[in-house]
Amino acid sequence: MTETTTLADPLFKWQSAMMEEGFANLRRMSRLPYLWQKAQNVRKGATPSEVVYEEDRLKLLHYPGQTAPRYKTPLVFVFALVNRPYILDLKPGRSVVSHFVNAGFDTYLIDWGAPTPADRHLTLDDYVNGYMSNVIDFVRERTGAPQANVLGYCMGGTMSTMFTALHQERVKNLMLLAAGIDFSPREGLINMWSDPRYFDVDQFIDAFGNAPAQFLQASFLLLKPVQNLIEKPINFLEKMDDDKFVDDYFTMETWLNDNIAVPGEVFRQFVKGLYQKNLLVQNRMPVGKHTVDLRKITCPILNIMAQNDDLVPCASSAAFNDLVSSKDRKSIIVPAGHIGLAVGTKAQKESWPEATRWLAERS
Amino acid sequence: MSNTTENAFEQAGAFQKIWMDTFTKMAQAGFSFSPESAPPEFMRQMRSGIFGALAKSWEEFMRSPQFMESMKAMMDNAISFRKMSNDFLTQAHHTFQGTAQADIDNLMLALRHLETRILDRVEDVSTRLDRVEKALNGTARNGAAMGAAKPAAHQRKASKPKRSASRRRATAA
Repeated sequence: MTETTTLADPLFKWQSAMMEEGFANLRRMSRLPYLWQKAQNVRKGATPSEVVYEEDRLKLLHYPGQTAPRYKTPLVFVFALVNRPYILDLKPGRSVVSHFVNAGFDTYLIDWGAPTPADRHLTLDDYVNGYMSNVIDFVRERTGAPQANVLGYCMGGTMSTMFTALHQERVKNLMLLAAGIDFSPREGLINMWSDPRYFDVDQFIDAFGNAPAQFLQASFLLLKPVQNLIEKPINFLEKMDDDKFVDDYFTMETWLNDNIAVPGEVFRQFVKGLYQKNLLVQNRMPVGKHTVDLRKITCPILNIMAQNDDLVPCASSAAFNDLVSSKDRKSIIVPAGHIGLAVGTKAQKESWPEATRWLAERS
Repeated sequence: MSNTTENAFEQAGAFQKIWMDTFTKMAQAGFSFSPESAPPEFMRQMRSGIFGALAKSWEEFMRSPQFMESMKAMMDNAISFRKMSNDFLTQAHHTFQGTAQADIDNLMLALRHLETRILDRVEDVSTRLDRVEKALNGTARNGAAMGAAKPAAHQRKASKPKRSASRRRATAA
């Protein structure tokens, strides 16, 4: 009798657990209409802002903050061209911008806008020596400060580096966030896929004009196909009755799927000059009629990198500090991925307060 | 055996190896957990192990020459298709005397060249103006006798890298 009970026990246990799981699934499914509604109304941006400057598709956002700025040098965020910049101000508690605004910095953010087919001929020269240069001049004029602090994220970090090397006199402090500088490491899949033997960027841009948003989106998804296409949806199905998780999930997914095209010529220059020829670290990267020489960077540098970055591997950013002439150089390695570096819990609790302090001491 | 056939066999072999490895790792992951844990938790652990193994194999596969070759072939086909459709649409537009995207592209390119040429001239004029200004300042300082002196090369202001702003506007805060 005892033996029969012992044998049947695990079976009963399994059966009841499976039934519980079945009911939990039903409960989750019943929330689908509510979730659909919620997914349509995701808020973008957390900190109040105003547009203070516009040029073509570019908009410069200013975050006025609750009090007057405590530091005279303004801070300008430069985001990548591939996604929307609101990842830097995603939601309360997950906003990089709010760290600096609350610390008393006069903070600005460049929203490049979405390029149209008419923008396919825009080059890095237009972005670095045109738009960025005009924005920095406008901010300097508006605040009366002789220089500005620049924080560049991802491709925006690479462009900020180019800008600083060409216009060092206008930049007081340079902060880089997962910025690709040395493209020789083969840890990242993007670096491998852009190998000229397998990817003819000239043919691609000649045919498509701009680098299509869908192409970029598919490439990013393929970096971790199992995680992005299988694990993530399953994880969502399991936790869709958790309001906090759902809120975070929708905010993040809205941003991840909000890709924009990259102007064709910029994409061509980026792939050829950086991914394929790695010219930036050799001080041979041409931007218009000028060549970027990293040795001309002399301002204080803060280089923030993500340990598990699959898009811009740590090694790709780490090289930067040894290539500049700055005496004041610091690196922070955050145990996070490319996006977690900005919005992750660890980064929000530790790295950003540290970065804010670093900048405060130098502004 | 021809090179092509040999390559095809090699690729097929490598492809098969990747999938064999994947299934081996998945099977190992599936059987390495104790069946005594609570069923949903056990299933989750097993699933996580399987996905972990799958992710690792895919990562290896996506770095392999086989994947890169197939990606290249796919990209080449996409580019050819795009070019074909571009040509077709351009011809269709032209047949009805309409404006095709290619025409607008050409126009934009012409404008870009025009802009570049004008900017080059402006930069040139600006450099010359700087020189004249310096020369005039020098004249004012050193008196009429020194007035005609040309500034030395190192004194000339280097032109700053700057491009025009097409539609700049400051918005009232």
